Amino acid sequence: MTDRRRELLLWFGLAAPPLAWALELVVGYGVDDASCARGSMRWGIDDHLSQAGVLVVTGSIAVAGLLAAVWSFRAVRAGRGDPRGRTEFLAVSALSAGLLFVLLTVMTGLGVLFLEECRG
Amino acid sequence: MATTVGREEVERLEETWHEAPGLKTFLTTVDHKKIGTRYLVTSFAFFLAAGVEALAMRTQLARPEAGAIGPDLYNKLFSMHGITMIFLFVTPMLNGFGNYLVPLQIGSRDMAFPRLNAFSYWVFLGSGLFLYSSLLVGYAPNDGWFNYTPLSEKAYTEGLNIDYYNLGLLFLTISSTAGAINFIVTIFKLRAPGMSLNRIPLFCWGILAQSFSLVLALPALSAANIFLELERRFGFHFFDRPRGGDPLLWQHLFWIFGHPDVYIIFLPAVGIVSAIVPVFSRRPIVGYPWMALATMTTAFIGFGVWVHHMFATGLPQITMTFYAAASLIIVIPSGVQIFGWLATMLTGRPVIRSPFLYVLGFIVVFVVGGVTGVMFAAIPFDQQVTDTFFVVAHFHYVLFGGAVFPIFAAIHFWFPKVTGRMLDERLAQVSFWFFFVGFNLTFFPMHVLGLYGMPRRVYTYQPGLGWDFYNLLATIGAFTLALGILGTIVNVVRSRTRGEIAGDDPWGANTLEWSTSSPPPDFNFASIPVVRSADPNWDFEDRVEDGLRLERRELTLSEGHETIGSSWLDGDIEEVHESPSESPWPLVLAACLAVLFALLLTGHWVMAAIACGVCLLAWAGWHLKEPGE
Amino acid sequence: MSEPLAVPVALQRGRPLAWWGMLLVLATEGALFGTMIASYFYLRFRAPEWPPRGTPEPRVLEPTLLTLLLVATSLPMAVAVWGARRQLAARARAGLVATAVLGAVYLAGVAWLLRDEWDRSPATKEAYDSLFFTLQGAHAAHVLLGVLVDLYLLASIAHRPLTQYRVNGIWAMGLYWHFVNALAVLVLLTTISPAL
Repeated sequence: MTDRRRELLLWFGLAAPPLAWALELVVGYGVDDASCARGSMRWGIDDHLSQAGVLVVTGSIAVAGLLAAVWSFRAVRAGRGDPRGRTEFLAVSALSAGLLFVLLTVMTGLGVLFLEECRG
Repeated sequence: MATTVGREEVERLEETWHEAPGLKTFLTTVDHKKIGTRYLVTSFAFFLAAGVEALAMRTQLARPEAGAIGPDLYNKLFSMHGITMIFLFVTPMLNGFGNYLVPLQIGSRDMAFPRLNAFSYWVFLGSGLFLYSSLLVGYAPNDGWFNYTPLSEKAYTEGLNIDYYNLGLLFLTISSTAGAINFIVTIFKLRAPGMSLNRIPLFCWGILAQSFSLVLALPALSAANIFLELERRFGFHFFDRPRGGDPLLWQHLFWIFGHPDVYIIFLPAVGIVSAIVPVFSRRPIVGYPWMALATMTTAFIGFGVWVHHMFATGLPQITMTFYAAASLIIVIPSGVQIFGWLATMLTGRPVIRSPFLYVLGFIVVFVVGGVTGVMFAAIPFDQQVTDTFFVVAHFHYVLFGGAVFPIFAAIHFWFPKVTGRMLDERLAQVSFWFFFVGFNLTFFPMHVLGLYGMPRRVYTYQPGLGWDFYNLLATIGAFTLALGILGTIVNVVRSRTRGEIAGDDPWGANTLEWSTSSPPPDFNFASIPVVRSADPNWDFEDRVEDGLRLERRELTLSEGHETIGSSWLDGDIEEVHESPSESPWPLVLAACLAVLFALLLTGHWVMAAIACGVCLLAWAGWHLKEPGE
Repeated sequence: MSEPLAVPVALQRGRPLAWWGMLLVLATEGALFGTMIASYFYLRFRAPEWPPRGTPEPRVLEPTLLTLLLVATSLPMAVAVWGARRQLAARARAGLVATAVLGAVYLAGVAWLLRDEWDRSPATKEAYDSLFFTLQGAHAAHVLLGVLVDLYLLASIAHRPLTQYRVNGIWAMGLYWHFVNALAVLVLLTTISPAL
């Protein structure tokens, strides 16, 4: 694997889990609002089905990011860091943040799926 | 200085960077240290104003049906107290420290955009005076610091109160946004050679996280302010149901800004704590990567929790769940930071001095506030205590604990660097205890009051509800707290001229501002330091190398008004930047904007359009003179 | 990395600070428009009918044509930046002039269109109209500012040398201009969405 690809994988590992959660929040909340708001009758959105879809997609992105972070971390441990330590810093950050955001994404998605649609 | 070469370089730098004392410099300076000091003094003045507002409220609430202050004035008091504390005190005060310290901590000579820096200050001053002028005309904002619709709509509040609020905040936003952009570009692009991402001081990470949050969150507040003004002044519809609007839209927009705002306040303060703990624990911070990461992830997740301020508005359960989950998870990074500090203290050799006392106070107070915060994430509990004094207690614990304690710690820690003199340690410690005890005596009883059902924002209450005793305690606490603050003010004023001489590094600290004199020379560093760790001032050999480099005329950049530009990831030298020197345009443009906002307030639309044109001319004038000309 | 020695002046690598500053300004403006567009959809989801009864559906053809015109101005602006960065002052000036003129034509078209819309259904009628005019008005204000700064940049290089500072200014404004054009598409899609 070239240096450039390794670098990209590290950035993916750092950015993907937080952005996956952000996507889940924006799309999930948006769909939920659209399906339960007063003007929603026209669109016929199935809230639970949509939310399950959102969870699957964003959950996968988050997990993919976490795996990239794990891989990057191990690469640094195997000696492919830089002398100033900033690659290791980014890899550790990606791994830790990845765990946190995967947890958050799954927790949010499961919470949403277990509740009754549109109930106040 | 050892040799002639070194001394010559320093003289050349002094000549280039010197700003002659006097009125002209006062009005045209772009020196980040002078601007930073100004921010500190001005925001502290607003702190005192808001403090007086608080004491007035506490006096009224000390006894049931006290009759000292009527409902109308009381509404203005709690509104102005909140607005002043949040917008005119904490954030600008922390930015004052940022302004002074960030260039020094990253080994630079000034901010990326020095004229923009000056402009940010003048606009801050202008917007603060604009808001406070409302008191003079009797139209101070009176719908709370969050200004909910429908009460803030024209039909329910006709007077200029709300227009002052909307326009004042729009005006201030210009300053905050400009400042945030300046910090981000400075921290990313102006660092000393060798200062890779993992060697950036934690205070700078705090400022960075704050700045990103400001850039992305302020627009939500601006949109809300613009919508409301259009509604009030021109009859547009955004928040009124009969015409397709929704009052909850205001709440969403406000809290999309409002929640990140608490992190805007908290994260630089936490950065201050991370700067102080290692110094007084005599060891590097434990878990640097996690401390930096915690700052950034808190800021990021902070954008996804705003609905927790609306749990009692009748939203669907699924909607609220998104935000309840994030509100619970966001505790984790903050918890990691607390454990990081504790681990540093426990594995170090702590030295108790006044800055450290305030840090310890912060930890205790903030954790209590954090605990009640987690309680709020449980929706059923939240719905019980919403709009009671329990909320007031919670946010004062997290805000006062999370920001004001660190600010006082910062005052005690960096006073020697800014003035060259030490504060009186004994007076500082006595003041601390009045401060700490006074704070807890004021706000702890409010938890009880909230659970006993006392609503917030009420100008009085009836006797016999079981609230009298706790209210009295809170008022006694408030005056005790005031005494503690007074002690610090006296200490600062006296020590400026009579304090013990501090020297470069009285605390034995680890970051670059302590490697230069107290106060620093106008050019900060004679030779730009080269950095090889996250605690550069503890790398004694490297600092000796700086002196040797000066003798060899390396990295002195004495040919012009210059500083180093470096790559954002690794801190490799990229180029030399020519830095602008004194300019009158920041003040001129700020003054034009003040006129514009005054005209918008009074409704002179044509004149306001002309003022807009004048502002553009001022902006053009600013850019006609290039840095280095 | 090698030991840093005496540094030669003006190496100029990477983008100028002004460009990064502008990028952040655009992030904040983008967030502003994002919030306003989100408000549009927030209120739309709550409305039984959108546009509300009695309000005509939005025009599609004229706004689309105008937006296409504006997006096309990215080309002369890109030429201006390209020319400036290569010290080709004449090309830079030509690009700036073309951008300003076409931008002014766009603004005239938008002004006419909005005037007509106001006569049909003013902003003070319902939230739908208020949001329509606020979105359009905010965007037009950004285009107007762009045209004015464009004229200023022209004046600044008219009889003066193309210094690095001025090149950086044009470079940064190019970024602003492309962003405003991208926003035009978003605002268009939002405001014509009820008719789609």
